[in-house]
Amino acid sequence: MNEKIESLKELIEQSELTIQQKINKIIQTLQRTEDPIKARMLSEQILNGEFGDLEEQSIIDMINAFSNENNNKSIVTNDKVEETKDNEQIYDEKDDSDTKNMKTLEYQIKVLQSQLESSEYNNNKTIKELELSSNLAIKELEESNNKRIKELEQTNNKLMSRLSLTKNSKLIEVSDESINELYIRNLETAATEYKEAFIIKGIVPKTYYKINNNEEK
Amino acid sequence: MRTQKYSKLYIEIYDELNNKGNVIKNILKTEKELNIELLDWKESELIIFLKKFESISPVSLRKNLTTLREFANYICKEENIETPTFTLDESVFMSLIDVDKLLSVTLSYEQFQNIRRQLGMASIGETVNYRDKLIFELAWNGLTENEMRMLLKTDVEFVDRKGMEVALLTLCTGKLVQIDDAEVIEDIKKCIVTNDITRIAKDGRMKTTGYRDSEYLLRPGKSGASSTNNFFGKPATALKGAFIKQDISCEGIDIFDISLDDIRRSRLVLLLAPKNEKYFDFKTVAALYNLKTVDAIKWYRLISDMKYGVK
Repeated sequence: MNEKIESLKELIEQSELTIQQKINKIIQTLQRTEDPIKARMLSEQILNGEFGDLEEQSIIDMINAFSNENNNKSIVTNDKVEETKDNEQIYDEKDDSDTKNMKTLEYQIKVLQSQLESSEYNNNKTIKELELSSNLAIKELEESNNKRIKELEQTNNKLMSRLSLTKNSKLIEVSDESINELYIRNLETAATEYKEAFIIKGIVPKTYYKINNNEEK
Repeated sequence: MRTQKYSKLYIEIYDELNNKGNVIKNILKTEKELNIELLDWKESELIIFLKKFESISPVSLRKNLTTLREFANYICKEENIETPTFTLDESVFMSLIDVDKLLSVTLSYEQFQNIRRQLGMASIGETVNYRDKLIFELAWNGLTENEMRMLLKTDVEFVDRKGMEVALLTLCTGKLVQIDDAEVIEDIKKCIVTNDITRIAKDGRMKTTGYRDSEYLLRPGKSGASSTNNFFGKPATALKGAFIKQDISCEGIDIFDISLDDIRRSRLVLLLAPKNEKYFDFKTVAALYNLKTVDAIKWYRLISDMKYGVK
């Protein structure tokens, strides 16, 4: 397993892809065995040389993907890795000091680029988190709106039903004569009704709506 | 019994929309079986009552217990007597769940990949039934059946994120869902442009019919339905049909019993698996699924331990 990880590290380093392209390559490959969100999280760590608890199959998939990318379709063996290292040493010895400095500078730039892209990635992550929390707030607002709409609808329904009650009712006007007669009868015999007049809480209404049951049906 | 006296009125006041009618019926049934009045129920009676629901989620069990408490409160208020507490330990809820049934409808990532490969029905070497495959994939990505039904083609936006394409879905519930999976993105695109659906007919032959003109992502077929809706009303039924007709199988999974909710829950269980705890805590998963609180998903950790083993 460790040999495979070392081979993969070499392949990633040798690849001519940009850092972002390498991250994308890792994500695409990891999606075969890992959840896409986890693959995204793992990609950054892998680029930093941390392989954690990755499954062997994921490592093999990535070795194959980067081997293909580097126009080398077979899996890089340890011998090849060592051979490459030897070649690099011979090449380095032949270099003059200026070239060495240039290489150091190039490496530092590469590291800085990687840090910059990593912080960009983190920023995007934060933005996404903020987006999600704002979605939550919007959802809450919608729920409270819906509740209010439901309340208003209920009130409206009540009003409508009262309106229909009034429509289906007949307006009765009680004559003064009936009112006077009912007052007298009420005092004498405690009667509460006389013709179209009636007493409710000590008052005889002058007009009222009489519900027409036939029309309701 | 007092429950008989108040049940009808209670259901009339508190509508049956939230399945309260079914809960009240089960209370009356349990009372009759045990010959013990609800207000005298202790833990053992509550357990017998809750078992009647054959639930695979503690959330639904808790809902049923809440309805029972509300009903008891109502009776006690009317009778002017003290309300019993009806408490149950959290571990009791878990013991009431049919774990074997739950695990048989909980997919791992490998099982998800396996089923979706099979769903890519092949005809002359290419996938032809993108809609039903997409239903499966969208459920895995957390969409409910209603959110799928109402998803318009214009609700989907393809965005370039540092050289990698992602799909942003704006759901009818206002949620924003990001799809990172390249295969799902591809299937969404295919679903938008494809005009035919190929299915296996009853006689076993492949049959191709057109989709109805529609602005929705999941479109109904032109034949076989009398409805004139231009949205696809039955994603769950269509997926179940695809499982049966395509003879999909997956080891350890009861494929014909799996629902969209089960597929949706499976990914949550996967994210909360012990091997993933370094990457996903309850808060992150709740945020990914647009959930208000983490309480509803805490029990998934226990299912994860059972499915993937304790670390």
